[in-house]
Amino acid sequence: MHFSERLEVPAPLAEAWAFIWDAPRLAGCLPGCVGVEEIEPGKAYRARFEDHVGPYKVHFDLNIEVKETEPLERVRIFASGRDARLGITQRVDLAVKLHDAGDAGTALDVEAEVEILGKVATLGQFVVKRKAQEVVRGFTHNIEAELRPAPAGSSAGETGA
Amino acid sequence: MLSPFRVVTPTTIPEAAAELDRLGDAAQIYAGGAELLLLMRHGLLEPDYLVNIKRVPSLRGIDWDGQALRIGAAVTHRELEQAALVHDHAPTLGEAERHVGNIRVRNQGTLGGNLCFADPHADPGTALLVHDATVTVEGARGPRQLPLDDFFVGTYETALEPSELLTEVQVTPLPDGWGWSFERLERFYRPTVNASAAVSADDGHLGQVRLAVGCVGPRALRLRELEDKLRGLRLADAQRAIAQSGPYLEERLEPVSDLLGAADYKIHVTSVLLGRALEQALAGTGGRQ
Amino acid sequence: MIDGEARLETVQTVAMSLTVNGEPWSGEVPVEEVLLDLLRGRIGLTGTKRGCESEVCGACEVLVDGAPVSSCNYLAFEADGRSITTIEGVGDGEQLHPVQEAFIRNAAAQCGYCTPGQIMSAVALLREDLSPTYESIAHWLVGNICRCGCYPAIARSIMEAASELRDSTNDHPR
Repeated sequence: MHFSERLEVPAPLAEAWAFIWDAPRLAGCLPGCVGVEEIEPGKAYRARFEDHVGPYKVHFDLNIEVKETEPLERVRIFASGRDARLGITQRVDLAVKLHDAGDAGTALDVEAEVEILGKVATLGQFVVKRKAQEVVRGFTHNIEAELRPAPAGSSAGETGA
Repeated sequence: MLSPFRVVTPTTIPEAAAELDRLGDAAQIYAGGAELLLLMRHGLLEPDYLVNIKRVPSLRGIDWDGQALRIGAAVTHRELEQAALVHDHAPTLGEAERHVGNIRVRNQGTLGGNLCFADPHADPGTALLVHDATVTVEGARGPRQLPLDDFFVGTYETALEPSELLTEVQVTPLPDGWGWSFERLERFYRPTVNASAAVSADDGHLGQVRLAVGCVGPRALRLRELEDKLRGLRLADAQRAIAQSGPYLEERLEPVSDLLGAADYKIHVTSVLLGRALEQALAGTGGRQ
Repeated sequence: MIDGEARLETVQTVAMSLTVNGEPWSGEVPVEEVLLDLLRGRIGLTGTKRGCESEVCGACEVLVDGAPVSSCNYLAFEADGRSITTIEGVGDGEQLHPVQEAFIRNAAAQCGYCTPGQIMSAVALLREDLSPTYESIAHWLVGNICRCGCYPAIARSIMEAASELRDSTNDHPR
């Protein structure tokens, strides 16, 4: 499944980049993420996910590898994981490209190639596809929320990598 | 092999509700098991207890109370397919029921189980929606009744609260003189698209119109905006409106491409089946239902 | 299902008795056991096959009180007190059922894996309707899948058997 989303965030390019490069924060924007562990800084992470489709619970660990980076421009991440109980394997190839949008802030192009494999996933393909769409939309929505300027009076968000 | 579990066998509805309340997440309702056992085999559900509701007599009947058909939740598809009462008062449902799964699934599976599993690739729900069917659900706090249209929430999601069970489906017959139709397309193990129409005729024009489509969207739906558009039209104009309703259908149904067909294929088939359903239903008007 | 998969301990059993092809059987069965395993494993009737385990293919089809069910997803304890017919019970000793004879005549089996299920459906159909059409045969047997593509021969066999049963002066009890 291929997904393409474009969003604009009212944050300067450098801040948007710092956020994207912060893999735990980025992974944290994926709906269902309940924790991110650093394996090798800037290179490898493991994230735990818990989600559900109707009454059916799904949980899996995603092994995240930062594959390509062009500072301030682009990052490409591979993630793979498996829900052993359901025999479902996930593979995600995610690329985020940043563009300076001047006064508007930064534009992000999110391209994701998502593979969800296994008997249950194949039989329930229509559900899996809807769920994947939901997740990608949730992901971009959460990124937007993270990069919105903090309301006046509250402490500024972290920008560290 | 199925993982071991225990079976509890209540004999009344309050007993069943009490067991569900007591056991909570550890229990699943077990009627025919036609879907449940598959889910258990795939590991999607791992209940410690099955609450067998087939020994509750009030869940097994098909009755006519003078105004509506009352169908117990544990009535099988085969029983509905063959019931004279269904044939007389809700032939739309009878037609849908005879297409559920295959002869084995119809012998084992129940209407209640089908509605509660809420797989959109199902037939009875689509037919029941054009009858404005209602359902009774019951939990520890007693029974409540709601339209089937509200009972279906989404894919695999219903309005059942924890510890509630569906007990009855009420089906009001179509008014005298109305015509009905049930159309479907199936290529693999579940239907790809189905459509049901119920209409009255008004001097050669369409009078009242009810249209339902299943399988394509996250749940079976009434197409009320399209119904409004078609009221009063001659058949040819209505067919034209349906043929042009692609964008509306796409927005309303949100089709997804999968093994059963590409999204645009499903929308195309939906419009074709709607056209046929409308024509068939209109041809059936004027007679006694 | 993976053969050899570790199995957790049974927590509930049912003492049950039933008849299979006219013969009584009784025993203590775990509630989670399916009828297919009772028939094949405990009684040794291996004519009924394991196929998709999804109620789609019909290889596991048996008749419970005359009604076709998918024995792979039918809990064995539900058959307590009931009368089961498997493929082994369709004929009468050495005497084959007209459906079986028609299948042989028409070469309606290649690998033979779906054949018991096809015959069970055919027998059940003919008990209800001795004058089926090709449409009603297709409808009734939609849940019996044949990977070898014997469908035309299967349909022809059923039509012939129906004709024979209609004309027959013998009493075929099944």
